[in-house]
Amino acid sequence: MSAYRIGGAIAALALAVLLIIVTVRWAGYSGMVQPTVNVSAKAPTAPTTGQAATNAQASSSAMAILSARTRLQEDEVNKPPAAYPRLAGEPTLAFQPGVPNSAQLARTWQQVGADRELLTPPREIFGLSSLPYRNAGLLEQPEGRDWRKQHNDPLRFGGGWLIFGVGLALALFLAARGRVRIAEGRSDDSIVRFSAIERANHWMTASAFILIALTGLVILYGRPLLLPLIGEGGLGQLAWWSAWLHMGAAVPFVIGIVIMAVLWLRENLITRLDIEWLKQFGGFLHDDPDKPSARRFNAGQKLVFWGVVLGGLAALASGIVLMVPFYWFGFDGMQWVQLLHAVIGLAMVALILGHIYIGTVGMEGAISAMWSGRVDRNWAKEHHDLWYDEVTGDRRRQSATPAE
Amino acid sequence: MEVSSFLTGLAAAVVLTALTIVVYDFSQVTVLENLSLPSVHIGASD
Repeated sequence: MSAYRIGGAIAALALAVLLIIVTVRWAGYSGMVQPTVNVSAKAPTAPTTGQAATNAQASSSAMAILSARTRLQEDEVNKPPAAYPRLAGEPTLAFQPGVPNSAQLARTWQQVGADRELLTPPREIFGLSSLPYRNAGLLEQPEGRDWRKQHNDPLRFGGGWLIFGVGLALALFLAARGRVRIAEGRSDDSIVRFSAIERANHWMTASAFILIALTGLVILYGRPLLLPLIGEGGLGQLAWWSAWLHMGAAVPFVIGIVIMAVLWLRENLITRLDIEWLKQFGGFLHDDPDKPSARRFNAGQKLVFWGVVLGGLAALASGIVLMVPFYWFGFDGMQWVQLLHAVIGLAMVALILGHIYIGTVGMEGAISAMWSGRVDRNWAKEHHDLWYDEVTGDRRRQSATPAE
Repeated sequence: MEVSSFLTGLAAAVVLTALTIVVYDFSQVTVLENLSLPSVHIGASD
């Protein structure tokens, strides 16, 4: 067994463990919003024998009401508003010392009907604010619950599943298949595949994307994953710099995509050859040198190209909307755009993981195309036979190829 | 030769990122703060 297959097996094991952890935590995630003020049940006065049971019952009911109200996110979706029993006597919720208006808060929380008011269709309440951004005066915005639920539950956990799942699939493929070798071995002769401009642009785009991806992951996962490790101060600094770098690196990333489109778009148009290539999975499942025909870019590379170009432009458009808050959209639109931006980003991370895999450990001879700009002749003949014929002028092979 | 195209691309990405941050004032962008709160949960956070 080759070192690549052993490495793939080890990576698959580690990724499977991570995937299980994400799955278990996702299954146990309630999405419940926890009050930040600690509150507990307490008898309002020194209990006498007769009152003790009443107070205990009232306290228990009060906590049940409070507990139910912290599940409003789920109630809103799953259940109609529930009626809670009226409490006898004074408020029985005790706040930590220093919580302002705690007695009034306790009375409000226990008031019969308050839950119905909270569960009425969302409405916005505006007030006055001196904060220097649009909509700062919006004091109540119930759609925030929906956005937070989507952001914290399916987006975060689904993203974890996607990234670790793609990583696991690639690792399993490496463990089962091993590295895709050059079937006829290296020829000790090479031909030019990418010019210096193409390579420099590729690495500029790649560097910017890696920076965007890492900072985006900090923005999305910093609170649940990094906060316990580096604390609020550390995460605050890291998230602040991540946000700036995330937006700053978008410029070289988009410039790189535009240059790529100019250089490579014509050669990435879909043809019938691509369907056959996909049907045979590029011939990656066996070491036979007779792979499906391809010109300069095969169907797999075209998928990456269009994924990066279209995904990058969609990420740019949604990112600009987020960079100019509330210029085009209100709260509802901004929330959708933020979720869409994150989904596009996670999908692109998964796509690029596959690209990095096949360009490095997954295939012998592939990395040199972008590193030195040259590829082994046997590699070129095997994976891009029609392109090889074009650049070497081998008409004999071209005439034997069926028309597209 | 091999390293030069990689370093050229890396340097271009770094310079353009730095220039963008210097030129554009990102401090006006307060996206997540605006989206997440406030909601009806008084004193609540995620």
